[in-house]
Amino acid sequence: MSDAIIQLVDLHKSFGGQPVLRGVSVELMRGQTTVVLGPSGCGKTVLLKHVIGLLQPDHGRVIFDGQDLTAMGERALCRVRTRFGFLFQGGALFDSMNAVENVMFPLREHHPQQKEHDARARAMECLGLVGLADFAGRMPADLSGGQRKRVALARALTLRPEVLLYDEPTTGLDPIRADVINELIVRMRDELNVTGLVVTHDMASAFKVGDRLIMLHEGQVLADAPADEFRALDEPRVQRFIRGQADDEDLKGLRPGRGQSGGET
Amino acid sequence: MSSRVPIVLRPVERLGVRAIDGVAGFGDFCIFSGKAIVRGFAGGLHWRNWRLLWPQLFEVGTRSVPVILITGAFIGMVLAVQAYLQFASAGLADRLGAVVNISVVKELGPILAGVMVAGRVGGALTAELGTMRVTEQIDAVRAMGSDPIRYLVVPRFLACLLLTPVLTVFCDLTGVLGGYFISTHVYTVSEVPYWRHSQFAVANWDIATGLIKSLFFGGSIGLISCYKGFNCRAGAEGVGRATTDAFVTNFVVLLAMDFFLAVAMQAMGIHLYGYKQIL
Repeated sequence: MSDAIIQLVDLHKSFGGQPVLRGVSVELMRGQTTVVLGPSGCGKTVLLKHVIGLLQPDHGRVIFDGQDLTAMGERALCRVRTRFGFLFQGGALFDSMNAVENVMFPLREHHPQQKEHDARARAMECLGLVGLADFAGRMPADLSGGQRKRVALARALTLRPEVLLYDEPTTGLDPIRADVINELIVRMRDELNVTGLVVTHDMASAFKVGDRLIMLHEGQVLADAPADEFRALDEPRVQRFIRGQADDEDLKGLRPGRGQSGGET
Repeated sequence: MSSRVPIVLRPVERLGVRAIDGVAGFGDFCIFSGKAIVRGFAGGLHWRNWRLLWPQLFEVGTRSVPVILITGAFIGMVLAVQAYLQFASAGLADRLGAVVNISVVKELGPILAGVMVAGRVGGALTAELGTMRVTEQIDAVRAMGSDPIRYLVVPRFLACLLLTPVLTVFCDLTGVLGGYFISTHVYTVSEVPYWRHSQFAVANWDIATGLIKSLFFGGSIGLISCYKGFNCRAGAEGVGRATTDAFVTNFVVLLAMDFFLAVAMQAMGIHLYGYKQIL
């Protein structure tokens, strides 16, 4: 039996006639952290949102633990989503609640009979896991970008998810804060045995947290390899992405007198 | 796609696209409203839903009371000022109360309370939910396995639906008092005939007409404002545009709804109680 917990089968998605995903098929292995790489706008976040049913594909299927999420109604999807945690790019903390109330939110929603004291204790435990137990009373506006992401991670952990989805977890953070987030992602896998799917274009982060790296290009899988083999892949676009090197096509628009300004056709 | 259409037919194509978008948007709004209404009544007995409702009741109701009281008072006063000279010159000054009070209770109280709720509460609801959408907080609610319509829309819709009639009562009250103050203390209308004619003119049905209308106003403000917030475009401009759009739509819908409800309620009143001449 395959140990894949999530299977994405031939996903297609377009927005306003513009294709974003063009036949993506990926399997995510239980207990592993898989990193999806790719330039901005290549469909990484769209892919991530399909995994949890926030977006429905135009064509293709998303299988989670044997269940086809694309065939489910919103109510059934709500139940399945409690087995996931989702770390949004900006944290997506609720402005009107302080840190601990944000972390308690899933408990209040899904275990309304749970005593306030117990829910708060669980929320403090999760804040402790991300090293922010002392910031429980702070409002999101009073937290730094990195702290907001850590509170959001604590909130994602509250219901003890089997799968954690990370949308650009280190974007916008300084290298030290980014490394704190990377360490947390590794801990989630090693200590809590959580399956991870990380979407990023931060190569340092990808190599640190990923067991397996997948690169998307123009809505399709360009490369898929274990982390230790990914660096050696014989694919120029992958190598340029790893080195952060623009090619002539990327630079065309910057050079005056070399034709049109690189606008899309 | 557009390039294949002959240039002379492009305006027709654009009109068609707009018409299709309009119909699709209205259908989308109806589905959204249906979900909010069904979940609002189906989940009404759950404690967790009541817990969400209290803060909205405070925001929509309690915080709106001062502005509603002031609006009502000025409306009553200005009606008395505008009507007094005409009525006095016709020798009907004693009947001023009848016209001022029936206008306030049946028409101006409900519509102005509705407009104030649309402006003060509706705009804030759209801006709040729009910002939540732009910052992915609505997606976060869904990602955590909750229903954003139940969690975010239902409490706001119910607060608007339940409290707009209450605010209308406050608006009516200060409107009646404002009209009374100007008529009897600034002008020289006697108190006893003022109230006697008011009592004759304003029946329970007239008060009920205003309150039933305000129930519809409140419901539509809640639904339109939440819908606009849920569907706003990205960025600060998107939120700003959605907020403006919500206010304009609310205002137009209130006035249109007021007209149709007035016609229907008047016909119903005549059918039930007969026609009553107040002058």
